[in-house]
Amino acid sequence: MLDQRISETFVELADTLVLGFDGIDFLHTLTERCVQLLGVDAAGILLIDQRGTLNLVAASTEQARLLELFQLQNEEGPCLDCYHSGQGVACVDLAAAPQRWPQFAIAAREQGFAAVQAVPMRLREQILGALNLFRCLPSAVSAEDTAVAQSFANVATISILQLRALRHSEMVTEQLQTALNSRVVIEQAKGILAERRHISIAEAFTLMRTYARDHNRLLSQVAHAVITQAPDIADLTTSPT
Amino acid sequence: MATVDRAARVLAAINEVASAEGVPVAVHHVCLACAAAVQASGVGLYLMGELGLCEPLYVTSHVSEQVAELQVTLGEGPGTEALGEDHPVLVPALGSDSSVLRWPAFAPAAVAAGVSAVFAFPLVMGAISVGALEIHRGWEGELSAAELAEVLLFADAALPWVLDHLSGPGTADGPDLPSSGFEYRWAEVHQATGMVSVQLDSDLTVAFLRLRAHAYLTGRQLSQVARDVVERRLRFEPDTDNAGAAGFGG
Repeated sequence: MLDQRISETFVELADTLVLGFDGIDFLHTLTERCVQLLGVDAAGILLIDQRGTLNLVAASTEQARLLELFQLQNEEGPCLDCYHSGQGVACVDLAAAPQRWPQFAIAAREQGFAAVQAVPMRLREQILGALNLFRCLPSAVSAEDTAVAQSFANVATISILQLRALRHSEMVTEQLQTALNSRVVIEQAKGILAERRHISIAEAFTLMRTYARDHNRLLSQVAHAVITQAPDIADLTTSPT
Repeated sequence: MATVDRAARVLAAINEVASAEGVPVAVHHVCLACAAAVQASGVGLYLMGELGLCEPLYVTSHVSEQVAELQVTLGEGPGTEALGEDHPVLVPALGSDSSVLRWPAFAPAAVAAGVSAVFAFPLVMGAISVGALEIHRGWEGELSAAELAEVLLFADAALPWVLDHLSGPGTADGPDLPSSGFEYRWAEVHQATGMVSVQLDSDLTVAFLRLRAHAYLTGRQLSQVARDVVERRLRFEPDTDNAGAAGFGG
């Protein structure tokens, strides 16, 4: 059963990229599948953009998002080491000495994480980013799960690179910028929803994700609809009293 | 890190142009430095005007002035098209059939003015669109990956200046320098912008300008103010703290 769902995820990843480059949604899906199928509590993805900057492009939870952002901000952490080295990086117990990433360990504990496994998004010499898995308990992500995660990352990397090779570079640039900007749109929409419904940013994110899934819409479309106050999503933006 | 170096180089180039003139950095220095960095025959900066129309704010050369005038007159062109979009409009061959088909009046006229390639980048922050930065070149061909990276950074640098222009006089100190590479802080800024837009019942641009004005007035960083909003220690009211929005639209 699990094997079947893993195979389905491969097909889903390949499909999403063939159909259209909505990088944000595709990578969000990937983080969700990691949590559903692997023994991990959260997942996040860092990806390089055309400015040469490493960006957080997807996270399965608000806690994972904050922790990934912390790494980018402080330029310290296993996910960055994974990206820079192009090799998998693991830490079974972030609280244990000696600490490789003292600041990161504190931030991880604050967000409720105790163990991390990062796998590179890499094809030969080209490293696009890293897929990062977090566990709440101090224990290793199994070798099997790590291998599946690496395969997910490989498929995503190959698909992205292939897409870039197939299409005109202008088109890829245009679409990548769209995908990166839609990340900002999602943040703005989270704020709008949090304020309208008197909930936290994390809850607003979960609501939008759930709504997108239940209505078979892209997260970025739902975010746009929240901002433009589209009437068809009134049930999402109106607080149930 | 190479990334930080590139961003730092872009900022240094902008500062250099300004200090050569012996004046504080302003938005036209961003345009001039950008033109030099990618060997453009000129750079144009457009504002999103009323009804989404294109309003030239600055041009670096006579050629760019002609291109800007053509776009405004004809109501079409790459910069016009990039305004309000969330992606750049890249035209490596303005004289090609597909370009002429896309902009039947503009493309031949711009080629006649000596422009062979145009690259237009929207100045956009999520659902906030304020303008576009447009590169004009005298020869056909794409921007290289390195040039593209630089232009994106110049566009990042131009965005706060254009927002300043929108908020009117009164914030003469100039905006914070660009956020690229430091977007982690900006996630909270974007969330706070969304929250403030609901508190003020305004659009996102007004909400962002109010947030930023509050940061100026209280002498704090924008990201700190944003965090206070997100953690609900700070609220904005429609009728108080008008300083931020006072110059906007009026």
